[in-house]
Amino acid sequence: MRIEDVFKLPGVKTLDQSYLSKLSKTKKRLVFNLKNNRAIVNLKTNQRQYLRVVVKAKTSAELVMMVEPQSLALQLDFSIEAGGQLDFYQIILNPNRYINSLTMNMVGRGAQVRIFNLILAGAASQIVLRQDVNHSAKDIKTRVTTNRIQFDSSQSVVYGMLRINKQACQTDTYLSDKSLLLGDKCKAVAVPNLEILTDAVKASHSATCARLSAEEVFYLQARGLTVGQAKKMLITSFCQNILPTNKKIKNLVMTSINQLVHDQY
Amino acid sequence: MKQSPVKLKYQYGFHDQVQPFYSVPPGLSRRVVEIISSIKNEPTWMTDKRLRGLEVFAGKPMPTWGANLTKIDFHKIQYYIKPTERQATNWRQVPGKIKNTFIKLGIPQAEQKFLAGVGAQYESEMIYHNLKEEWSKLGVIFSDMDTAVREHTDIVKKYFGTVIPVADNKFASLNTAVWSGGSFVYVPAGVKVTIPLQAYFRLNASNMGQFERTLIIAEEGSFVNYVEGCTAPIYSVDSLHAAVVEVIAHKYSRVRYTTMQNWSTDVYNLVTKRAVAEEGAVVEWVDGNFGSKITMKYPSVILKGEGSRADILSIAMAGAGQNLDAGAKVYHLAKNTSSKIVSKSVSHHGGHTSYRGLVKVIPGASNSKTKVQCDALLLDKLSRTDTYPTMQIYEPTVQIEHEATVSKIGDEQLFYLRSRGLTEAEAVNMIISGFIEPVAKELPMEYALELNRLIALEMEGSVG
Repeated sequence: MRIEDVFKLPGVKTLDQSYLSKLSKTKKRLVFNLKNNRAIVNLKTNQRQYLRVVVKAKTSAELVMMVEPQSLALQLDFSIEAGGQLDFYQIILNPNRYINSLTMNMVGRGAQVRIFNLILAGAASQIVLRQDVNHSAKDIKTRVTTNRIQFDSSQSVVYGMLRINKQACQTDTYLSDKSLLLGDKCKAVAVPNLEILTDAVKASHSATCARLSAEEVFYLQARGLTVGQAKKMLITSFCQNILPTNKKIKNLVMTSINQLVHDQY
Repeated sequence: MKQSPVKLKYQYGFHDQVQPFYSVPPGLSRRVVEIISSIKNEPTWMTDKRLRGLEVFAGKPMPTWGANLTKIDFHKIQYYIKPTERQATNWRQVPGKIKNTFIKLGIPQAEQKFLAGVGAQYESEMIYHNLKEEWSKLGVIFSDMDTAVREHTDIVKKYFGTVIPVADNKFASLNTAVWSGGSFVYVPAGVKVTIPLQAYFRLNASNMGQFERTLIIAEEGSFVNYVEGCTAPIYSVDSLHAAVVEVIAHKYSRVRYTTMQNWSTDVYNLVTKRAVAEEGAVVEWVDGNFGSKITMKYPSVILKGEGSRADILSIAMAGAGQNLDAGAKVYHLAKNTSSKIVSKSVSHHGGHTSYRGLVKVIPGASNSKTKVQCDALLLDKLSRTDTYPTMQIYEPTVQIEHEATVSKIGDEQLFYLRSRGLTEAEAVNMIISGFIEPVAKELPMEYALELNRLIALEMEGSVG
């Protein structure tokens, strides 16, 4: 299968063929599943990339993106039409430098999207995520969940804008940004924004930042685990709610997480 | 049958025909600044600071974020008017017309045994000042800034401009150049002023800005509660209110600063308020924003000393044509510091509220904790609310929590209250009162009563 074939899946489409030809020249590995309208993109390139995805009306899609580049700037544009549903997973595994600008345009009534971002950053990783979700129709439901696990002197900035326009009544939207800071010199910046131009909506966001709870570590130690085992267990459990449902992908991600955590403890 | 809301006029929307004793022409220039300084008979160091403020103001651009300030014409504003020749020291000495204004504002009602003193500002001048003898014996100084510059020069010179320097922002530099009035509070070490210190002031001339400068110093182990509320008459041209408030809380002291702002809807309210908290100190900002055309105000606390704490409570209620851009900022610069920010905003009749906040934790500020909660109510489709919080966490050993919700009044809540016999208007008022209760319960009683009245005034016509 080629990259072009992925985007011919029902419900998942890209409109710009020139970018596909550019992608085909870069180092990449692509795995996809035809039956469930899923696409998995593994980006290891060091170039600037652009990706546009349109979820057509009354179709559902799942897109998993795994990011392991040395240095990458990525621009993602999504458009979800009426009744369309998208689950987007972005797994960022210890890049050197990664900048992502994501725009999610909810243009059709009843559109739904769930965005899951998992950031695993070690050493001197620098990560910047910008996410703009624009609600422009009625009865839209969105969930944006970001979990960050940072080691050493890594730095991350996550900017999230939920904008509800005048015509987007009955919108239900929520953004969550949680950070585990496990290194002595790591830094995290969270900027969750809301712009609400109509009433009859449910919009909220939350952001937390902490390190591992000493009580929880002690609880596990009291059950016979070592400190390192306890911390590994807590860190991997922190990721569970935002991993893709597909077992193979999940195992692939957990392997990468375990490797990084193992290096720390 | 739908019950028609009671139409109530803005009962504070009046102005007196006062003849100012001395006024400078509209516009800002070096000459104007020098005149203001000479009228006040200030020492040279203050005049130099004013001129430096003018220089910085001229060089700074207008902010391009937040509310629209393009309609402010600095050349049309009158920067100083002195209504009386001398300052009265008791109620009987206040001129009749001015006293009548304060009677309408309710100052005699506030002059009760549990108030330590009242300093009232009218047209850029403190004209009434009453300090209870019991506090003055303890060394508590509560006066206007003009008097403090002359009589307590050493203290003022030591702290003036240290929390908010002249180049902090454009409106702080403007205030430095043309400030007039404001309060000076000094509480010696170990003294606890349990009765709130309170001041009123208001504008009363078109195109006249108000630039009071307030300085509060709480020495080690002291406590003071300062309360201010302000009103203004309605004019057809815009007025500018660019105040600066500096608070210095020394070790283990506690300062609470309460503001209830109800400017008329032609006023630009651009205020810089900041406190520095030393070791173990506690600073509390309680901020109510109900009036003004545009408000941009972000009370902030610098947690400089270990174990210091900041509590910031904010209410904003924006109606038609209003843009209230408020928030809070906290800087954690030391270990074991904590902060709590609670912001409640209500937008109705096309009003626009924004929360703009910052929590910053620098490396080394270990074991810091902060909780930020901002909730907003949208009462109709015309209104708008925004939330722009920022958390900059540069220290890993922290606990940071932030949450924000936006919603309208639930139909189930309304139905529940109406099924108990309340009208829809009464139910809306009750729900909104409950919504802002975490902030309202921290206010002195007379302010809580005024707050309930303000809510009722603001909510008229919001139902149906």
